[in-house]
Amino acid sequence: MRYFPSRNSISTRLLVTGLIPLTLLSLLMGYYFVSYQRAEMLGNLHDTGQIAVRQVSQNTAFALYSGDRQSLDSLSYATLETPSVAGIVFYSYTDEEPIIIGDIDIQKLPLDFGGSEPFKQGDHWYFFSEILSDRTPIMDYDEQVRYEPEKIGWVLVSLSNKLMKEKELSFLLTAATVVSLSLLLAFWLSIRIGRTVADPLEELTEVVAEMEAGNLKAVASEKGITELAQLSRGINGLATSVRESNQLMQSEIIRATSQLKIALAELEEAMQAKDQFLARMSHELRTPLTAVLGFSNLLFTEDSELKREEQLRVIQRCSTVLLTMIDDLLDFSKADLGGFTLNNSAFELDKFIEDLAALFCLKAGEKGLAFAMHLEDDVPKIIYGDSVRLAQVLTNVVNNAIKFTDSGSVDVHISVVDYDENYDHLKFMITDTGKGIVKDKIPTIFEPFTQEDTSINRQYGGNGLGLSIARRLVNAMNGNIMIESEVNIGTEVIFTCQLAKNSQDNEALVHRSLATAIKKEDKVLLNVSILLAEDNEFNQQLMVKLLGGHGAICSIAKDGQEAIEMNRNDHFDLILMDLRMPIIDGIEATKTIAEQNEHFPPIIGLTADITKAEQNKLIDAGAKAVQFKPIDEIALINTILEAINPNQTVLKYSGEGMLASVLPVADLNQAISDNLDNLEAYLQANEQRRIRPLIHDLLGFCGLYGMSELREIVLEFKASYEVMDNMQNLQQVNRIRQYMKKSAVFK
Amino acid sequence: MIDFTIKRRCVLALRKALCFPRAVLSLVFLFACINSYSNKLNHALFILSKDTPDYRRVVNLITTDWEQSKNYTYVVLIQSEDTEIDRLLKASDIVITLGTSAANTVLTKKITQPVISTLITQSAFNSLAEKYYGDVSKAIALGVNPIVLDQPFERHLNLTRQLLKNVTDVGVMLGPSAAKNHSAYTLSIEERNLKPKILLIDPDKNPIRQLDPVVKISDVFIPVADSHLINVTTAKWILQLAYRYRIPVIGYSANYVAAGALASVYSSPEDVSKQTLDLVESLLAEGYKNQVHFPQYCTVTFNKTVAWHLNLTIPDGLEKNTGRCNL
Repeated sequence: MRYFPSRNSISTRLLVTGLIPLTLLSLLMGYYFVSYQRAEMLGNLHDTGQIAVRQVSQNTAFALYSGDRQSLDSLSYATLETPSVAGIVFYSYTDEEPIIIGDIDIQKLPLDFGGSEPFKQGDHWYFFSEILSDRTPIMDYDEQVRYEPEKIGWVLVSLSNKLMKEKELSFLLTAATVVSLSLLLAFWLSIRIGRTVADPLEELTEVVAEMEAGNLKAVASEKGITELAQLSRGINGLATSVRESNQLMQSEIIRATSQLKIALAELEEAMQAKDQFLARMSHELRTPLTAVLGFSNLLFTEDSELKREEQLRVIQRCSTVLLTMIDDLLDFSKADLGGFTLNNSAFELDKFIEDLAALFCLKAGEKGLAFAMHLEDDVPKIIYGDSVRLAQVLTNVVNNAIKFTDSGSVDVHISVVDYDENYDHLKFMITDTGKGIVKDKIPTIFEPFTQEDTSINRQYGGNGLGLSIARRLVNAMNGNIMIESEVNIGTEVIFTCQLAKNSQDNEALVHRSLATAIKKEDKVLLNVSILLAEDNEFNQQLMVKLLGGHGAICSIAKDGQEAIEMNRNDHFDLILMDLRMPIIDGIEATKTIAEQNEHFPPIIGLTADITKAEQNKLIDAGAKAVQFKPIDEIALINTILEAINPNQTVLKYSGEGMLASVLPVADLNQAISDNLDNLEAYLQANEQRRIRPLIHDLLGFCGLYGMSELREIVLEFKASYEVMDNMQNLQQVNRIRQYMKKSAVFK
Repeated sequence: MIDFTIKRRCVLALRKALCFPRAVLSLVFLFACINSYSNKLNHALFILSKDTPDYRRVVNLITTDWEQSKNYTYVVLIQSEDTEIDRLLKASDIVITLGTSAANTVLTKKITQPVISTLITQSAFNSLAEKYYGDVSKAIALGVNPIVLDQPFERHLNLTRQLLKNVTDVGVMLGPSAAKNHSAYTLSIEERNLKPKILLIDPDKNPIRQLDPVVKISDVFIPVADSHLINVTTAKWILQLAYRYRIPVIGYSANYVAAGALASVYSSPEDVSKQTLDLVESLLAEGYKNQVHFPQYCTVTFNKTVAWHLNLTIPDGLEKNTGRCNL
C-alpha cells in the first residue's frame, strides 16, 4: 500500500502533478536543445560552407584567372582540410571545362544551381560563389565612384553533412540521456515531494485511526512540514483532551458506579430492612391482631362470663400493644419524612422529672429494681422546649433500661454539661445493671427495626423503633445520644439536648398559660360562624362540642359537595375542611370554594396525614392552615383566631388539653374522679368485667383530648391490671389521682 | 575692379558650400549674381567634376594666388545639371574645368571663351575633343587648353634609371591609345640602354595571361596610362604578378603607389595649380597656345614597404622630387 498508493492518494496526485510538468519540461527542453543544436550545427555547416566558398572564391581568383592549376590545387586542398568540406568545383569563364577537386560529382547537380543560398543534394550541401576580380582604383583624381568587379568564374564548394549527422546523432544520444536522467530525476523528485507530504499525512492518518480504535495514547509526530506539524499538535492536543476527558469520565463512572453500588447496597439493605420490617410488622401486628380476632370470635360463642372477661382483657391488651406500635410507627415516619417539629414552650423541669420519676419508680418497682433519679442543683427549674418529646426520649430509654434489667438498679442523672447566653445543654445519663449489649451491636442499635438479636424480640417484644426515634428526637433538640455497655455488667445511655435558658418571659409564659387556662371559659370564638366539613359523625360531635364551647356557631357538611353548596348559600366566618371525605374530598372542595368567590372565608384543613405533600396540596388549593388529627385544641383555636383576625393581636389560647375547652375543668375533673371512684369500687368489689369499660373511658378522655402523659399511665394500668392484685391496681388508680392533682389542667 | 566685400562673401559662401554640399548650387547662384565682368580677365569660372579635396585643393591654390596678387573675380561651380551654367559661362572671361566630367560639360557647350581643362588624362581629353570637336587640334584651336595628367614616358624611364641602377629589361604595357606610339616608347627605352619588353595589351583577352610572360621576364614594369578601363582592369594583375615575380612597378599615380607600385611620377594638386596659374598668365600675356599641355611640374612618390620587400633603397634626392619636374 505504501509503495503502490491508490489513484486518489495525495502522493499519487502529487506525483502526477509534479511529474507531468517536469516530464513536459524535460521533453520540451530536450526537443528545444536538439532542435537548437541541429540548427546550430546546420548553421555552423552553412557558415563553414559560406566561409569556405568565400575564401576560395577570393583566394583563387588570381590562380583561376591566370590558369595556375598548381596554385588552385594548393589552395583547394587547404580548404578541403576544413571538416566537412568534400569537394570544390572551379569554373573559369575563359575556359570550357570546370576544374573539380575532391569528392564531388558535378553530373548529379541540378543545372540551375547558383545564387547565394546553399542547396542540398543527397548527403551534401553545396555553396556557390562567383569569383570576382576587383578593379583597383589606381587613377588619381578618378571621378568614377565605384568599379564593378569583374566576374572571372565561379566556385562550388561541397560540404558533406555526414559529420553533422554524426554529431547530431551523438547529441541526440546525449540529449536522450539527459532527458531520461531529467525524467528520472523528475520522477524521483515527484516521489520525494509526494512522500514528504504524504508520509506525514499517512502517519497522521494511522495515528488518527489508532485513536479512533481507542488508543488515545498514540502520539503524532510534530516534526516536519510546518502545517502538518501544527495539525499533529492539534490532533495530539485533541487526543490529550479526549484522553483526559475519558479518564475523568471513567473516574466519574467509577465513582458513580461505586456510589450506585453503595446506593444499591443501601437500597438492598433498605429493601431487606423493609422486608424485615414488613415481616416484623406483619408479625408484630398480626400477633396481637390474631389474638384480638381470635378472642373476638370466641366472645360470640363463650357463655362463661369469667372467660369472656378474660378474653376481653386479652383483646384489650393486644389492642394496646397495637396502638403503641402504630404510635411508634407514626413517630418514626414523621421523623423520616421531615424531622420532628418541636412544639417548644416553657415548662418546669423539676416537676416534669418528678412526674416521670413516679412512673419509672412504679415500673422499676414492679420488677424489683431500685430506681433513682438525680437532678443536679445547677439544672434550671424552668426551661423552654418540647416537654412531650423530651419525656418521650427519656421514657423510651428508661423503659429499655428497666426492660433489660432483671436485677439491680436503674439510675437517671440529669446535669448541665454546657451553657451559653441563650441555651443550656442538659445531659441525661441512664445507667442500668442489666444484661448489657454486645459491643458490635451497639452501632446498629439506633437503626430502625434493629435490636441486638432476634431473641430480644421474642423475649422482650418491641418493634426496634424506640431508640431510632429517640435518636432522631435528640438530634432535633440539637443533642446526641450514645451507648456504652458491657455484657452482664450493664449499660449506660447518655443523651444531651439543647434547651433555651430560663428567662422572665419563660416564667411569665408559664404563669400566663396557667392563668389563661384558668380563664378557659372565655368565649374566644363567640358568634363566629364555622362550617365544619367532616364525614365522621363522632368527630362532628367532638368538634361541635369543642368549638361551641368557645362560643362558635357550627354548621356541618357531611362531604365536600355539601360544603361547597352550603358555602355558596350561606356566609361563614371560617371553614374547617376535613381532607378525606366522600363525593368531593377536602382539597377539591377547597379549590372549588376558592374559585367560587374571591373573598371566600378562610379555610383550615384537618387531616390525619402528616406528610408534607398533603399539607402542600391543601395550601395550594387555598387553605390558610392545616391542623393534624388528633386535634390539638390549643393549636386549633389559635389557628382559627389567627385566620379570622389576621390583622389583630391574637389572644393566645393556652391550656393543658382539649378537655379544658370541651368540658369545664370542674366537669372534666369530676368526670375523671367519678370514673376513678367507680374504678376503685369495682376493683374492691373485684368486678373485673366492669373495670375494663371504665379504663376504656379513661383512655378515651386521654386520647381524644390530648392528655398523653395521663394516657400513658392509664395504658400501663390497662395493660397490667389483670395480672395485678387489687392492691396494686388501687395504687395505680391512686397514681392517676395524684397525677390529676399535680396537673394544672385539673386545678 | 573687384569688390572686396563681394569677394569676401564669395569666400564665405565657398566655405559654407564646402561644409554643406547640398547647398552648393544655391551658393553658386548667389555668387554668380553678384560677380562683375571685365573685358580681359576679370572673371573666371571654375567648374569641378566632383567636390573632392584634391579639386578643392587645386581651386584654393589658384584662387589664393589670385587673391594675393590679382584682382580676378571667380565663381566655383560644382558640375551639375544646373541650367544656370550657361549664364555663368557667358559671364566668365575664362573657364577652368577640373576633371573629365567638368571638361565634358564645358566642351559640350563649345563656348568661345578660353577653356583650361585640368585634371584630365590625355586619353580622356582626346576622347572628348574627338567627340565634340572632331579632333584634338580643333578643340585646341577653339581655345581649349588641356593640362593633362599624363607624365611623359621619359620621366618614368628616368625615374627607373635613377631608382634601379641595375635593371636592364624594362617591361612596358601599352594600351590601345599608346600602342600607336609603340616605337617611340621602344626608342626611349633603348636610348637609356635598357631592353624594352613591350606588351600591347588586348582588352578583350585575359589580361593576366598577356601580362604574365612580360612581367616574368622584366626587371621592372612600367604600365603606361591608357583608357580608364585598361588602367583599372590591368592594375591589380600587374601588381600581383609583380609581387609574384618580385619586380618593381613604376606607376603613374599616387594611387598606384598606394596599391603596391614601388614609385610613381604624377601631378599633385599643387603641380596642377601652378601649371594652371602659369597657363592663365601665359594666355593673358601671349594669347592662345595651340597645344596639349603636359605636366610642367611633377611629384615623385614611393612605397617604402615595397622597397623594403624588394631590398631597395630610395635615393635621397628622389624622395624630395617635387615642383618643376627635373626628371
